[in-house]
Amino acid sequence: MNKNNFELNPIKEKVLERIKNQRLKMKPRWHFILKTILMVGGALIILLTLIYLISLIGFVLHQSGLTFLPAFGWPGLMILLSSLPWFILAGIIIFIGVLGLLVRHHPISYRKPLIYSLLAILILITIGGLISLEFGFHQNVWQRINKGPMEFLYRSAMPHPENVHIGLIEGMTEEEITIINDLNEKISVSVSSETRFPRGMGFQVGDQVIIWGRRDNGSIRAFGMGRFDNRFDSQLKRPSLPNSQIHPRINR
Amino acid sequence: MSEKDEQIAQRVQNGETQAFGDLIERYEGKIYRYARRFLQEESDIADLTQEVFIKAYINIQGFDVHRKFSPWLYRIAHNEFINAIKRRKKEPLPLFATDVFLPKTLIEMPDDSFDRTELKNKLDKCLNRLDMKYREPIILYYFEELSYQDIADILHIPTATIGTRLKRGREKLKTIYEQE
Repeated sequence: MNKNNFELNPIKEKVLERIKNQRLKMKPRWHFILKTILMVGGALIILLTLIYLISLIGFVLHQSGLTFLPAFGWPGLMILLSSLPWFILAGIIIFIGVLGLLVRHHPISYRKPLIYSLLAILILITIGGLISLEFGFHQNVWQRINKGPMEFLYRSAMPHPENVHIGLIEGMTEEEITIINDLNEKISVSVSSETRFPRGMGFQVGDQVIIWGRRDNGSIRAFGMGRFDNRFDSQLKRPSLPNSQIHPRINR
Repeated sequence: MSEKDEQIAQRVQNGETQAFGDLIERYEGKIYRYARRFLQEESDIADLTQEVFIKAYINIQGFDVHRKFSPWLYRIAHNEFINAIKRRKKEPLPLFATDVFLPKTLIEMPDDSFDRTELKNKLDKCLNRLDMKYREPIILYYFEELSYQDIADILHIPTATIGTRLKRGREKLKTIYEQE
């Protein structure tokens, strides 16, 4: 017996004696099973919350027309960035951190650099978010909620960027386009040679458009304009337009 | 052929509680040495070693018998020793290790070209002056002779980071040794 064992023998005796006298009891197996279930369940709930939040950002950005803005170049991109729902993004970062800590207990995660776990979470929630958007999850929720915390969440998340307007084309001339917005306001849009049309100019009456420009009372001087493909189509109430008002496409 | 640690642990899980004595016998010396090197200025090393085995017994139903027993036990010891340091506040604990974040472009492999016994003797003299971040992988690799993967499982850090910490730890120890 070496010196260490000679010194340490009481450890074995003490521990075994405590086990024998029932002063030391092992935790039951269900305790660990429950702990694992809670951890996996918690991770799943956080993952689903992240998917929900990331798709919510996608939904509100599209609904408010912000996803169209980068087509106008750097100034459009700046408006997009300044209008992002930062409180949701902050929530996403916190939840990613918590999820990262939870999965870090598993060898697959801790044996690899932390960045891999975070990237895997990001890829997973982005794919989940895109699938959720594709299936119109938020559109359904948006149409069903009336009041309460959910409505508050959606309304708070919805950006209202200045100088960005969405409406339906009601009439067109060479110099001016008239649109009707979701408040049923009739607004004239003046188009000049400086107006940018990043997605082409083939507009026609009834098209839903997004206009970037300063509004002055009942008119907007358009800096940029494009057809707005709002596949969710829930925020705007489409006013019915008589057939007689349909004009030929603008050719510029 | 002697019974594997995992088989003994399974017997303990199945109710043969006295078999836990065999595991203590196999690991008491190792855990005691680990504690002595890791917590150089602690006086109650024997109490802490005993506490490790008590925690191991209490939590043994949580041990997965399909995995290795030694990293599991060393992990308990690591946590116990870190808690002891926290209680005494003798040494600052790193809040966040940045070297676990990014992948390593070069994975350090162990340098076995030198006399291991001689190195151990040199290391042992200077260990207390080395940061905990480097000290622990050096103890586990050079003194406890554990593999990179086992050390990764004990410290919950990437396998490649072990190599980097061993290399930097050796360099720092060399500097300390030359200063003495």
